[in-house]
Amino acid sequence: MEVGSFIEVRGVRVEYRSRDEVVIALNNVSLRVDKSDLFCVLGPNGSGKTTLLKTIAGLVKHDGVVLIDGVDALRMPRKTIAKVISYSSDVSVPEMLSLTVEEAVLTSRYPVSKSFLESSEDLHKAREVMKTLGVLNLRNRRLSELSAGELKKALLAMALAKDPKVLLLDEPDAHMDIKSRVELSKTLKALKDKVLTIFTTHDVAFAANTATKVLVLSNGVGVALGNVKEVLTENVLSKIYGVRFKVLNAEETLAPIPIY
Amino acid sequence: MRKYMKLLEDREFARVAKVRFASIITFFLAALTLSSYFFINQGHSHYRVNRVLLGSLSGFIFAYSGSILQSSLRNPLADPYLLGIGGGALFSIYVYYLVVPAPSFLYTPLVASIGGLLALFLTILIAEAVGGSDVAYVLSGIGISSFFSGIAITLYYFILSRAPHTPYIYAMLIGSLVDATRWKVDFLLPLTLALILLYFLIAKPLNALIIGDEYASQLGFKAKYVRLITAVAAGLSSSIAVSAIGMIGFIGLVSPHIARLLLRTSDNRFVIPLASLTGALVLSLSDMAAKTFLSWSVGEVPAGVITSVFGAPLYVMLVLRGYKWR
Repeated sequence: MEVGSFIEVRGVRVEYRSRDEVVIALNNVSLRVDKSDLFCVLGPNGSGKTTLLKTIAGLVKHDGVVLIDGVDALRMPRKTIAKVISYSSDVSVPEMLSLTVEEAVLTSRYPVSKSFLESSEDLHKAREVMKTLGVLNLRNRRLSELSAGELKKALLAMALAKDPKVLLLDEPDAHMDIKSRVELSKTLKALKDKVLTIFTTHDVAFAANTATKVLVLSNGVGVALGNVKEVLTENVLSKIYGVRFKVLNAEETLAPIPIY
Repeated sequence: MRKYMKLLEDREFARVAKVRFASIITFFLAALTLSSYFFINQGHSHYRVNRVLLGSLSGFIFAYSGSILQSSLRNPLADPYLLGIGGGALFSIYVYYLVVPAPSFLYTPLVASIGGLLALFLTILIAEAVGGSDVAYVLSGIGISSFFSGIAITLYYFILSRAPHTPYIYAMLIGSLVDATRWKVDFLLPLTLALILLYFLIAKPLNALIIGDEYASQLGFKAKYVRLITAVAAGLSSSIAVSAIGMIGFIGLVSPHIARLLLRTSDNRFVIPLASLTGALVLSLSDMAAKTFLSWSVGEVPAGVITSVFGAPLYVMLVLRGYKWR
C-alpha cells in the first residue's frame, strides 16, 4: 500500500492552558480521510480548524489517536513525518532577514535532500512547482515584499516542493483575488489523486466547489461530516454560521450565499 | 575564461559558487589560524601574533553568535549582548575578582560562562513564561542585560577601591585587546573550530526558522530545540570571548548585516561564514586603528571604542538604506 492512502483521527482532544483557564480547542473529534477525498474543514473563527490541522501534522499535544495509513503518528519518526506531511499556514517574515521565494521553496526540500547545498534535482523540482503555481516570476522577490495573496501562492509552493503525500493547508484561499481562487481550486483538484489534501477555509463557495467531503466544526466539536452536497445545505449552513443562507446553482457551480 | 563567466551569469551557479567560496575561505582561515597556532606553540609566544589572533577569534565568535541569534530569534537587532550574555559574563568575572582573594586568569572563561549562561537562562525563563515568542525573548533580554551590566559597573567601583591599579578590569567594560596573552588564544581557538562544525548542523534549520516556528517544525526541525542549541552555543562562546577581551559592541550586530548585503541573501549557509569572517576582520582592523592612529595623541584607545564609534553609524546607514538590493 502506498504511503498516505488514508488518515484517521479518533477521539482527539486538545487543550490550551493559559494562566488560569483551560480552553478546550478540540473535543472528541473523529474523522477519516481517504486519498480519493479532497477534504475541507469548515467552521466559524475559533472553532478549532487550525488546531485540527496542527494535530494531524503532529505539531500540538493531544489526547486521542492520529493514524497515518493505520499507524499511530506518535510512533512514527519525526523525519519520516517531515517527508510525508506538509503543513502550511500563514507566516510573517521579518523584512531584513527574509529569504526570497525561490530560497524559501528550496527550504522545503530539506527533509528529502541529503546534501548540505541544493542538488540540481532540488532546484529542478522547486522551479517546476513554482511554474505550475505561477509564482516563477516572483522567485527573486523576498517573502516579506509579497502581497498577501502572492504569499499564499508562495506558501503553497513551499508546501508542495518536498513532494508530500499529505497536504494540510490552513486557509489557502485567504487574501486571494477571484481568478487566483478559481485557479487554486483547479490546482487542488488536479492534485487530488497524487496527494491527500485537507484544507480549511472561510469561503463556503470555495469549499462547495473544491472539496468532495466536508467536516464542520463548532466550538471544537464536529457537528457535521459528509459529502459536500449533503452537508452544505441551507439548513446546516444557517445553523453553523448563525446567518440565513441560500444555496444557488449556477451552471455546474454550487453557490451558497449568506443573506445580508 | 569566457565559459566560466557565462556560468556565473546563471543565477543558480552563482549562488552555489558563492557559498562554496565562503565555506572554503572559512576553512582556509581555520587552517591558517590552526597552523599559526602550532607555529607559535613551538617557540616562545609573540605578543603581536597573539593580539591579531585574539582579535580575529573574538570577532569571529561575536559575529557568528550574532548571525545565529538573529536568525533563531527572527530579530535583526539580536546580538550576544541582547540576551544578557555579555552583562552576565562581565558580572560574574567581577564577582570572582571581588570574592576570591587571589583570582587566577585561567578560571575567568569558566566563571564568565557560568555568568553568561545564568543570565541567558534567566532571559529564556522569563521569555518562556510569557509565551516564548521572539518579541518576548528580546524584551526579557534587554531587562536582564541592563540589570547585570548595571551591577557589573557597580562592582567595578568596589574592585577599584580595593586595588586601584587594575587598568585591565576597566578595559573589559568597553572591550580591549591590550592584554593579549597566550592562554586566551588557547581557549578561543578550539571554540572557534567547534563553532565551524556546528555551522554545518544548524545552518539549514535556521533557514527554516526564519520563515516560522511551525514551518520549521513540519520540516522536522523542532523550533524550540534549535533555538535552545543556538542560544547555548552563542551564550557559551560569547561569554568566553568576553572573558578574553571584555564587552565589544556592534561586531555581533553589524557583521551579519554586512554579510547579507554583500551576498544579497539571508540564507544562513552563506551568511554565517561571511559574517564570521567580517567580524574577525573588523575587530582586528579596529584594534589596529586604535593602536596606530589614536596612540599619537592620547595613547592607546580600547578597540571597543572604535567598533562603537564606527559600528553605530554603519548600522544606522544599513537600516536607512533599508536593504534595497535585488
